[in-house]
Amino acid sequence: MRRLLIAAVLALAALPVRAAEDDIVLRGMGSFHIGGRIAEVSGRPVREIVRIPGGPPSKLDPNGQFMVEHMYVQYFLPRHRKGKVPLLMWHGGGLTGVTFETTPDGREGWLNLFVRKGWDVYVSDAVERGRAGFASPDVWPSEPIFLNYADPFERFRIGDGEGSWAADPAKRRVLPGSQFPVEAYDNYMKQAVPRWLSTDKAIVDAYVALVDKVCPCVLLLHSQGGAFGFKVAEQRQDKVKAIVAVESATAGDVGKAAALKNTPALMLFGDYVDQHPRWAAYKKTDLAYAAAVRAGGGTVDVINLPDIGIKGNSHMLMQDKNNAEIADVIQRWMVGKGLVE
Amino acid sequence: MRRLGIVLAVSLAAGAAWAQGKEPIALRDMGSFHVGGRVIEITGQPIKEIVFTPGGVPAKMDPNGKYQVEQMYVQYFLPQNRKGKLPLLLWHGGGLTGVTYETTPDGRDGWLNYFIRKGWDTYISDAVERGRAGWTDTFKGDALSLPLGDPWERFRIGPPGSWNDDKAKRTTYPGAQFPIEAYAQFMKQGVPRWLTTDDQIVAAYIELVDKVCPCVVMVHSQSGTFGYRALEARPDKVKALVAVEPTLGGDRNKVESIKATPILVVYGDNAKDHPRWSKIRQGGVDYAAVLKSAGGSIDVVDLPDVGIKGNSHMMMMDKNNAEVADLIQKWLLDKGLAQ
Repeated sequence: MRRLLIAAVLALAALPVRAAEDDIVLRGMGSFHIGGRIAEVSGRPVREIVRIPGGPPSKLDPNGQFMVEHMYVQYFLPRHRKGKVPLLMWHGGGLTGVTFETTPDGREGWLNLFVRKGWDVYVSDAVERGRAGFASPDVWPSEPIFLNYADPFERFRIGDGEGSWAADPAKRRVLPGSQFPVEAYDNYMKQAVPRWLSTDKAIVDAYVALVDKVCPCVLLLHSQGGAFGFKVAEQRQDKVKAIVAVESATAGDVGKAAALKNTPALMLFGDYVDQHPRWAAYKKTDLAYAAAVRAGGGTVDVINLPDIGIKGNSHMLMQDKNNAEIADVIQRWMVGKGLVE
Repeated sequence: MRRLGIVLAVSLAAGAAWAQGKEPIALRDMGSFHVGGRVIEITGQPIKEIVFTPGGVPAKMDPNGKYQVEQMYVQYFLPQNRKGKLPLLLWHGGGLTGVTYETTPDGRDGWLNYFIRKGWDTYISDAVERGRAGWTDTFKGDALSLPLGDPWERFRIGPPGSWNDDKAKRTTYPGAQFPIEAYAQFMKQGVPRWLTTDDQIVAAYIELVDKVCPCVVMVHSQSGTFGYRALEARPDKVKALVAVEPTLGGDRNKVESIKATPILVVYGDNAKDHPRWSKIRQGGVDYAAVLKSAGGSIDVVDLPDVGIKGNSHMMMMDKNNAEVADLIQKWLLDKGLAQ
């Protein structure tokens, strides 16, 4: 029996290798860190630490030079490239590139969907988040914040505003027709990481270094990443060829909006935005920036998903159940802008 | 001209794989997930008002409530032409993340790409508290950040006393394989670590093993002890253990239970002489003797003894990382774990 199995396995292995229709075939994949600076710490006492329980003690001198404020990038380059320039995906606050990799209920994220569409995709973790690492309190004196279970549920328009979250899943008030995979909300909370409120400049500086390395490109931005993306585009208008801003939580500097004259932008909003005081305010800020870009000769298209018949989307629309449908909306816009072969 | 610029930028970014004209990587799937952890409750803290984005809309933040803590992150790549009979799990060392295996500081292919190309379903992870696993302020003690010079001597790039803040004055072991010109890039891969989280880390690794194994587990440095503890907890699921410079062996009282799992332990160059590594290595060698005398299967390879010289503690990033991977792959083939 075992011999037969081995023979069957060998026969399978001997078949010519042919990629199945839905395989992801890459000409390259890898990762790198970029940006950052060396910070100097002095005057702190030397410590003796045991790195492994039962292991030998070793000295740790907390003084000296530290590498800080760099960011992490992972890239996937499809063999059949169709996007004319790389597509960079920048996550929102308290999150990492995981936002785009997967969904809490384990479906494919936008990373896979856009690699399949033929884009060279660069997914990153901003300074301080995930694999970017974070600096010690000697370098960043302020404290990070941590999100409890209720916070994103109510703030990201999964639940119906304040008070909609309850410890008992049966008692949570989900917005009607919500596309968020609420049954996997626990998994979503596992994706969260701490964030500081004092690191915006360091984050933008590292993003500029990334743009200088891999662009010309298209930026796909989410939430807090929107504010960073527009500010970076204002500094690198020759390199950012287009912007897709998914529920940007504030945009760029209205006084510098004319820099986006040659950078077409798409602003995308999910459902229930206008009735949520917080998101209505963000949208107003974004639309004011869009108006300033247009006044400077640029183009900004605004899509409210419910207006085109796509309903129920939360703030995390790349993870919502209809995430593929929204990816198609974005892809059509990029095709329309001549960014795809 | 613009087209040319784009092509050039892309080929530069693609790094070694593209430049060397290697075969494409064909995957039947790739993705990521978080696993493990628990929910805790915080009470009695005052509510804060914060502005998330300068100029943004103020929001109330109630620090009380339920929090997700102690989960870990896993990314997987499943090659179209699978040859490994089981999934291969790559677990990183202290103060590091899965990036350890993804790339090298000088931008060559890491072991992740190597083992995918060899046909292994590869699961690369960030342990609890590291990288994309996230962390919370519920851990005991402080997180440690490593000064720029710390790993230089501790990871045997250079001998004791060889580090200098001035690049020109740093020295290395003779024939060092570490890409020292990219040392600063290596330091960007470092993340803070706690010294109090071993039990939480192991608990999440065991949940990972329960989810994706039977499997082969490859461990490095600090995760050596995590690999042994996971094996001791799930001897039926961890079918082989590859320990790359583990800082500790397993529990000598539990060798009986792990006899059926073959183990490979690999040490790089200068490990026998380095003041710290000579102790760590001796501990590993002594443990291997105990396991063997109980009837276990453990091979200990000192790379210089098989003619592979100059390797640092970060041998998966050293210039000859493919040669070291070949040795591991050959061992896995010999154990009947791959076709």
